[in-house]
Amino acid sequence: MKAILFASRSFKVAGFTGLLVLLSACTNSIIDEVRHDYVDVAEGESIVVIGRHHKSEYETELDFVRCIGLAISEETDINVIPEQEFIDNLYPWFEPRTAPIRLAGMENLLQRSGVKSQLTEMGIRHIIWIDGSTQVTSKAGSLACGASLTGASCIGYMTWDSEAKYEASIWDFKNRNEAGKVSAEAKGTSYMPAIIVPIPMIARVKTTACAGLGTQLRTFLTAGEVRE
Amino acid sequence: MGGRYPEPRVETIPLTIGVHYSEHFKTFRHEQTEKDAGTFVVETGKAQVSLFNTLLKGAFASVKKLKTFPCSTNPCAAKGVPLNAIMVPETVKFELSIPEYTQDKIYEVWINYNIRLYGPDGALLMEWPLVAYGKTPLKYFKLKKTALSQATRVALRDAGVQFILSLEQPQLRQWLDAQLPESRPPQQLQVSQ
Repeated sequence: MKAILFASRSFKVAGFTGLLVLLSACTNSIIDEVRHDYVDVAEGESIVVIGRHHKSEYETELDFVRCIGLAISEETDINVIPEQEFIDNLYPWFEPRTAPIRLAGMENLLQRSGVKSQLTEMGIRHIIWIDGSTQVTSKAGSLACGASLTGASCIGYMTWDSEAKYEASIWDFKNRNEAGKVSAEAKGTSYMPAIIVPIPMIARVKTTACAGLGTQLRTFLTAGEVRE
Repeated sequence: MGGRYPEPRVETIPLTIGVHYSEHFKTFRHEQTEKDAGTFVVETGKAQVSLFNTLLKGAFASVKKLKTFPCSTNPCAAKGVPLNAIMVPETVKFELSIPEYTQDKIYEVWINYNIRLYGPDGALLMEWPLVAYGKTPLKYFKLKKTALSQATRVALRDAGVQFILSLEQPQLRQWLDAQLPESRPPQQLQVSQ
């Protein structure tokens, strides 16, 4: 009985995953890397991934920052400190209004009482700043839905283009330099035809950008080991 | 709304400060009715008392709460402990912008504070304004209550940032440094960015 139940659940999971794959629209992505220095995260050292939140026109999404952190920590032995924990421990110096934009600002910040010692205590080796966002760039079509006593239905067709653009700057706290930059750009078109029921085919640009940027950052952070 | 705020990572000023929160400050509440969006109520009294308690505790060596101000004694003291100065924060204005009126469909909050610093004799030494700003992370924009409290919380954290930075204004630093024991040299602080 348990086996049948397990098989039934597996079938449902596989079916749901298959449906998601079928209903996902295409995306294409470009990953770029600029390296100024080889880096290596030694045992006992940690990194932190933080989003840029100081711009008025957009804000780097918290879920994207978390996604990058997971992409690094799940596939390597690198300890990634959660963004909020890091920001709270160094309050108020990494808030949108005070976070250093350039390395020179970081040098000034290190002169402040308790900042350097806290970074050392947390074992921070690299600060990875994520800047960017996912946005809908254009939309077309229309969808009309209605409800009556016999039920609800929709008819129409909608399409929209999405673009995810992110750049990660890797600051090396130990060597006091910018080790490099990795950027990811993903574009895709989503479709939603509706004949009674809307059938969304979503271009998962943010997920694609996270996967691409995460993989490249992993390579970047472990390249020192390869070189040795 | 309540909430905890992180203690600021700053060099402690070795002075004893009294703080007085008015009833208006402790129970501050903003209510706003919009024609197409309903009524919004934000209560920040408890949260801002919690915030300022944490900020002052981190910034000064000793903080004494004063139930009443002006003090009944001259110079002002708290349970026999003489105070170097008394700080009185006040909420002046709360502004809220809702998604219906913003291009990016977000909640935005502005909180205006006025900080007054009095000497032990009760004379006003300085006062300065703080304008704090907070907005919702975009992912919350559909959840009205969560988004609104998130925007307010961001604004309160920003108020904390500005308060800490405001302690570095030259006129105030000069006065604070003059109160320090003579053996202690004035602090040299640099502004980041």
